[in-house]
Amino acid sequence: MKIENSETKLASAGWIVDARWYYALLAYVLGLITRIDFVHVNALVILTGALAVVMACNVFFTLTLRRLREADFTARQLNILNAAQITLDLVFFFLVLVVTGGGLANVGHSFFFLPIFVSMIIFGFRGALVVAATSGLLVFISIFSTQVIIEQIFSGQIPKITPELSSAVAQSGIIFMIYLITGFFGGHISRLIKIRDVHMHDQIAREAEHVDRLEFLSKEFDKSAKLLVRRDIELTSVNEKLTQLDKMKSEIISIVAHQLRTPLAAIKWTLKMLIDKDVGTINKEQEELLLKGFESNERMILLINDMLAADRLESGRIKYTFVPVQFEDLVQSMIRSLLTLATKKSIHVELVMPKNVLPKIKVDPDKMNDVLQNLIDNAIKYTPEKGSVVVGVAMEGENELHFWVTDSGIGIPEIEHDKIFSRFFRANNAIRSATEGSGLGLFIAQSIVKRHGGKLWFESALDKGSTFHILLPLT
Amino acid sequence: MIISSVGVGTDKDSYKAGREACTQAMSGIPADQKINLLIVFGSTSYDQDRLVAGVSETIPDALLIGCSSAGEISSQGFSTEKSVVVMAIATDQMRFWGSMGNHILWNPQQAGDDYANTLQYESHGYVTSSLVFVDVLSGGGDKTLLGVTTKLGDDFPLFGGAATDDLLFFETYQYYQGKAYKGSIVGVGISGDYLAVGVSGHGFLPIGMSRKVTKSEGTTLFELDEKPASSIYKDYLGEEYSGQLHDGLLPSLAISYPLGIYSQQNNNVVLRNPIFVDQKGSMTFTAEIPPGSEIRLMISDIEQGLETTKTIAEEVLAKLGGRQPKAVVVINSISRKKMLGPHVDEEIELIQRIFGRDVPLIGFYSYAQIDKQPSEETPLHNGSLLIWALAE
Repeated sequence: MKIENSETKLASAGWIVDARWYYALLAYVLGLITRIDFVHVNALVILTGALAVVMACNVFFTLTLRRLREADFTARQLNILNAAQITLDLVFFFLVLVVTGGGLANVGHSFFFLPIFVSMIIFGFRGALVVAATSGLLVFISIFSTQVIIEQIFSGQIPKITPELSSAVAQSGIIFMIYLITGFFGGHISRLIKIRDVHMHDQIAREAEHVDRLEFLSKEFDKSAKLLVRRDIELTSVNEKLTQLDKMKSEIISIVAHQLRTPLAAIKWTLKMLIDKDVGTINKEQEELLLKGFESNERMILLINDMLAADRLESGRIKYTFVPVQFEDLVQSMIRSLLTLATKKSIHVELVMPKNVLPKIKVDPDKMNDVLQNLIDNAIKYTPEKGSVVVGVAMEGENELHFWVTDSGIGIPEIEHDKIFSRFFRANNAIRSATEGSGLGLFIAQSIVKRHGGKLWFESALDKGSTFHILLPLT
Repeated sequence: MIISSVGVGTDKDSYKAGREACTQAMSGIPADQKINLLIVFGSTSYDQDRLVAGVSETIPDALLIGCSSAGEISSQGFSTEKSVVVMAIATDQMRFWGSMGNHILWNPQQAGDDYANTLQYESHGYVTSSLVFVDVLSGGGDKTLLGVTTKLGDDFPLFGGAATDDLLFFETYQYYQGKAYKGSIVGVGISGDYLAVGVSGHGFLPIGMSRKVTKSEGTTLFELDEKPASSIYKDYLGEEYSGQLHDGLLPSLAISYPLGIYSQQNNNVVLRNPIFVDQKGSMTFTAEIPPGSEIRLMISDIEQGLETTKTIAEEVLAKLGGRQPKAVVVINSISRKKMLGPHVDEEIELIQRIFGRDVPLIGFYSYAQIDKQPSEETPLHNGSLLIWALAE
């Protein structure tokens, strides 16, 4: 796994150049302190000359690095620069080692650890091993040069193997091994670091990609949010206008209905007086006609009353008074009042009551009576003659009461199920079977049940019958 | 024993409406019980002094506190026409201490300090909680409340609301004893054997990206992300609707979409409604806007709003720990009223269903809600619902 982490390498090269100002000077000072002057050459001159070259090279490296940083550089250029740096260090430390006596007798050999560590950082495993081996070799050369062996070889003499020389060679062998081990383990650690760097680099790259993606998505979400808010404000604005219109319409209905009530009442009592023969006799045909007129007028009054009730419910003008009541009593008395209607159509009405007395429930009795009347009256009205209606009350869990009315009537066509609680809506088969009805009864019932915190729903099958359920909380 | 009862007055005459509401409330308290406290909320379309006189002259011995409103709430639901609602409380196990601080316009903190000082002096330091009604139009509401909390302590349970003026944003009234005041803080300190619980929440959710307050001073917000503050509304509402921000005195659109300020201590969001937007785009609020705060536009809907109501009411009930609430005060916000629209009645019905329909309930729609929690930075909230319940 290789990565071109040139930026990191460039930074490392920069640190080494910076560090060289200090360690080169340190090596020079230590070299001066522990120097051994040779016969022909002054150690001070060698050291000072070498330091001057190193400093000059370091200036060159600094300038080169600056140029590389400014321009697009290649990995090869950087590698050459780094190789030159290490070579310079090796040569310089070799000279320091030579003028301090060579081998392990002085501190010079310890400076070789520096190029080994540096090569670990910039070249990795192989580089570290090569520099370690070179360092070891230079230590050997320093021994031979200081022990005058090289001179002897060049002058054709057989080098003398003295005990000092043997000891120095053995010690150098050890330092050679230490360099190699340092290079090996250091290179290995460097390799591990590089692998970790690769992982981290990948991870950072992936996370940077995620961040970019998140930023992009956030901007997109913000655009969606703007759309949503604008849509919301448009809908709210339209809704406000509709509410205003609805309010106006309710006011018109209310005014018209109130205006119609008085003349309708006058018509009612006029017809009643004629039918009751209070103003003179009438023949049978006239009576039949008057009765039809009277019934139509009654239907009209019922419709007007329903319209007013629906309007009051919608506008929130109706105030509820919740009192604890025995719900079964309300149901029983409602069935009693509607029994005449059922008997007329020979409909069997059955009341299913719980074995134990139910707990009292908080309802507005007048409004709840309207609900019960609407549901039971509908059941009787839309059930054919000799049919049956079952009314039941029971507890549902601990906190709710369940009321239901099942009839064997005409049922509600499935297509009209979702419209049944709308204002002025009557199912087609309902219009055909019974002419009376404003289409407001179920709307009113649902409004009242809702205000009680309850739920009203139904199940129905065409021509088989319907069941209307109410679930009411006890408190 | 704690007994309370609620009355509603809708007479066209201010004095008669006050008297009607008070008489109705009085009728629910047994004749042999002395009424100690009257809480009054009335529409600003009434003559305020005559309204308060109508209430206080009906029961002169009782302590009277309250304020003007932007919609009155009672056990009978939300009032669809101008009205006054009165809650009468009779008790032999609690004591009520009335107090007032004036001149919020000149020095809001001093007004709050005066309120707290009087309360402590009158009660000899026995007061253990307080319900306050404050004007937030003439001065920073949070500064006024800082005056109160500095004196009474950070842990002192403080609840209440800001008086309103039917969304005119001009001047509000605070009722204390037989008079209606302007630019004041009024309230009641409570001591004795009782349990008072208050819970608030808003149910608004953030929408869009957050913006940073780059320039603000006190209650005025100048810049968000180095752009004029009102640009947040212009960006989201578009040019067509943002023009309405400058319609009259009322930034009505901003009421529907309050701003949410993220707390720097925790993840809580405090809502803020601007009460004034100037032509340069600066916005004035009822409380301080700290520089560097993170701000987002907030939105809600009816379902979310009602769900919050349910959560708050249930939390109050849970905090009462099985004790039956004897009186409930609902301090709701104008933002929630606008958001719920025709469903405001459903909210009250929901609260009544949770507490029980026979529990006397009174409330009003306010410009700000006060709920001092020890962990919170500010007791002043906008766009929230506060339910305060009293139990034995």
